[in-house]
Amino acid sequence: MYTEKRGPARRAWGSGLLGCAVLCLVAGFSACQTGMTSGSGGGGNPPPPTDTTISFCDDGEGTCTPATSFSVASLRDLVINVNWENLSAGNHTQMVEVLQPGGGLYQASQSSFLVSDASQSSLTTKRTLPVAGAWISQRRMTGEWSVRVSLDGKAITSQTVQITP
Amino acid sequence: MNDRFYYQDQRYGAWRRLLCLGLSLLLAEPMLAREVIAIQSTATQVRGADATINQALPSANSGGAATLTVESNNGASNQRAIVQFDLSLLPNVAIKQALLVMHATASTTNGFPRTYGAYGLTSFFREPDVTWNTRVANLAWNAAGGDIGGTATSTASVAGGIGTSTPVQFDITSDVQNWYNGTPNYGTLIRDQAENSNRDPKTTFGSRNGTAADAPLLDVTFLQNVTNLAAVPGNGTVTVSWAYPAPIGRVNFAENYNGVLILRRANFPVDKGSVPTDTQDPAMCSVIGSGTVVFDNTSLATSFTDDSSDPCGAPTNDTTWFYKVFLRDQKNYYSTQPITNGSVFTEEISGTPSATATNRQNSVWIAATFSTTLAAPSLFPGSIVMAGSQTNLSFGIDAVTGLRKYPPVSLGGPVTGRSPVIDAGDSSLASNVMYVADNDGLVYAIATDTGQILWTVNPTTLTTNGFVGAPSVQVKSFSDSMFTLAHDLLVVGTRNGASTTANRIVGIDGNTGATLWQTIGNAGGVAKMDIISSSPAIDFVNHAVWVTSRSGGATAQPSLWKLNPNTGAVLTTAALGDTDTDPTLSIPGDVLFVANNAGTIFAINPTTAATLKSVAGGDGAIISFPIALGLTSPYTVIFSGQTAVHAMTYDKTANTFTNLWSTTISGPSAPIGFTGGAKVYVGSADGKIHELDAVTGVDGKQRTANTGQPGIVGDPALDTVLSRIYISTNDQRAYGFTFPF
Repeated sequence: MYTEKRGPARRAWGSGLLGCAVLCLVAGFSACQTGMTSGSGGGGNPPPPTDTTISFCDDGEGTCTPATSFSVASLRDLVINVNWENLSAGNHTQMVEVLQPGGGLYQASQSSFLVSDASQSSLTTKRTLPVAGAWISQRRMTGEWSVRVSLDGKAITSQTVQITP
Repeated sequence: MNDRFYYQDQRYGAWRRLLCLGLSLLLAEPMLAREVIAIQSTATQVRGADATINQALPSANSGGAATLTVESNNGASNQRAIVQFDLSLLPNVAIKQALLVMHATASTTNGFPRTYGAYGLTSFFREPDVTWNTRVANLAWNAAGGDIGGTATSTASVAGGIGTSTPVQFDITSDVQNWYNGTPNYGTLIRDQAENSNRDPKTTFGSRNGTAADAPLLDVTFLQNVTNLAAVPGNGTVTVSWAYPAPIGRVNFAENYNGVLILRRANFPVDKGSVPTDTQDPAMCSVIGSGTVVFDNTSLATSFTDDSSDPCGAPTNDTTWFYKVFLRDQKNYYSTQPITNGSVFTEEISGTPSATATNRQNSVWIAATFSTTLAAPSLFPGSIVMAGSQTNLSFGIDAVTGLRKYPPVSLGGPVTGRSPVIDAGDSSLASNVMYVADNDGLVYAIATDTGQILWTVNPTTLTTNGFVGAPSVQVKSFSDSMFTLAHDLLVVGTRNGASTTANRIVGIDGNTGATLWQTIGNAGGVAKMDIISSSPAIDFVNHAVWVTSRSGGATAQPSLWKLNPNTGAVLTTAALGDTDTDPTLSIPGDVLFVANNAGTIFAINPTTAATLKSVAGGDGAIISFPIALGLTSPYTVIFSGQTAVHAMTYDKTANTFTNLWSTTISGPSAPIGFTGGAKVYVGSADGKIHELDAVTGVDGKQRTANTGQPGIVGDPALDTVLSRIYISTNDQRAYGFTFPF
């Protein structure tokens, strides 16, 4: 729907530019001299990372040992680690969506980071989801949760995690 | 029309621009939708911002400067411009197009033409704080120079040698649509696409603090939502009615609102992705995602009765039917927008027909919150309902209509507590204000009339101290002379899950956001302090603040804290075991009730913090908080365990708890009721609100929010002015119903 929608918008604007350009040629108006180009994208999308993993651990335990199942009775924080490999240099935006059992969105978190050069192409981000004392434990929202990760607007991977009664 | 905003035609007063635009329109295809408005930034727009961040002066703030600068310089002197628009005029719209126009007032000559990129910022910032290195308070950007993605939303070419005001335009439609789709609006960053140039190309733009005509401008094309949406159920019928909004912007030629398209679904709200495609007119009874087209009108109808004449099937009795109403224009553009990152907010309503009049029910409004929210909404009764979200937003909802009062307020982190609101007549700020604490450790004062953020602070200066519980406020105008602080006091406890000993309780000046005191666990003689997930109780009678915490799983570590509100000094503590619920004072302030995670209810002497009496609830951990009804002892204490709602009396004189009733409710929320009220209300994991008799506990009537999966109903809030009950759910919505049921 979005793609379809942008077509006529661009054509309308493009026609507008044509009109403006014609007028510029005739009258040389300074208002039209600036290149008022507008478009989506700023130099093309960077290649996607070749390997991305999501792991989970409990921040309440001194050492963060990855696991795929946690007891709601003892879990303090669900730490979501996203490890990116082979990232291209430049700015990136990561979206982490936490989906509750049944699939509804529980929480979404967006963040950006900079990879300055290829030597820093491996990077791990950390997002902490409060569990103890929060709704997940109070309302016993147990079952299969999932975490969905996207980078620069593209879905990359997802991973499930069990929160057990 | 607000004079802070200007229509595009008025803005471009120069005849040559009008001529240029006119010729463009002649050659162009029709505009996309009905309404267009140009929002031009001014210094008085309370939710707008702009600033330049300068790599050469990485700690310098330029908010308030008369110009904005974009520069490419290989001497570590790049400059970038940040712009954030006040969209208060457009609270309930679907965005079809958004064009950002910057007005270049000067540019150098070497190295031009340049390509500039517009990027959506992905982190919260504040204009008075923002620099190249930091974004708000003492918090740094993840990447110095602003947190942005790798790809510009839009680019524009800029010529050199500019000497007069010249527009430079970026199409940021997708970003603005996302702001209306649940992504926080953190503004737009403009930068040179090839920074670090050795020719130092630089362009100066107007700012909202300089020449008015040169300020940044956002040209928005949009459709509004319907207004006054209502549903009235009957016997095998549901009548849905609505009104058409008055235009906000300039009305396009031959682009009138001409009707609505209604999708229907049983038991569940129509899914967020179920929306009609612009420019198409779906057939009656066709299925769009999870919804069925039951009404397709192009003649400005204002109501629709869904009954046995419905060719798509009549609404069966005793089933809840959800209706999603899309306002449309003559070219079949609808009040919706692409789903890229969350829900949409097209107006919805529900009704349950029944052969029995008393079994008929309807919501009075449904509002999108974009994420799971189970805290009770905050409210000014009869006026506004405030709901936080876990997408870093705070919503101001009209209590009467369910429409947004203003676009959601974008914050730095998720909001999970019930944020307190203080009326202007009581607040030391003398304005209607809400205090918010987020999971990422920031605290905010927000003007609830406008959504303006009055101040933002990181009170602990650390990034590990998030807040799950909301602040509580000691209102100075309610306090006696023992309260010596100059303004209202916020008290909030941290939830640093990685520590069982070093959490802290913070006292904050309600007018300025200044941290007045911190009581830090395991430091300065203070006992170890585990995580705090609750909101404090302000004790105006005993001149104290009560805070509950976990106890590190130990029996001796304190979990109830009594503090001096003036200094934060610990007056006394008690070890009650892990406690995540809010403490609750009796109305006269002579008994404090605390419920711990083992399900034990404590009656506490508020003078000494000694336990007067305790009793096992017998139903697992208590949910959120107990409520205590009654003006004098014996008090009725009502609380939810894991499977039921329970009521008991506590007689202070006899020092006894006596069971009154227990009513089984699936996955109950905290109960809500009021002294003298005949009913108690509780949310449930069955998607309903249950109305219990306050004396007997009989579960007499229910109201259905969403019986589907997920269908967890959060803590309710009662509006005694409108006789309405409000709840949020885990289906990304808030609901209003009338009470009693």
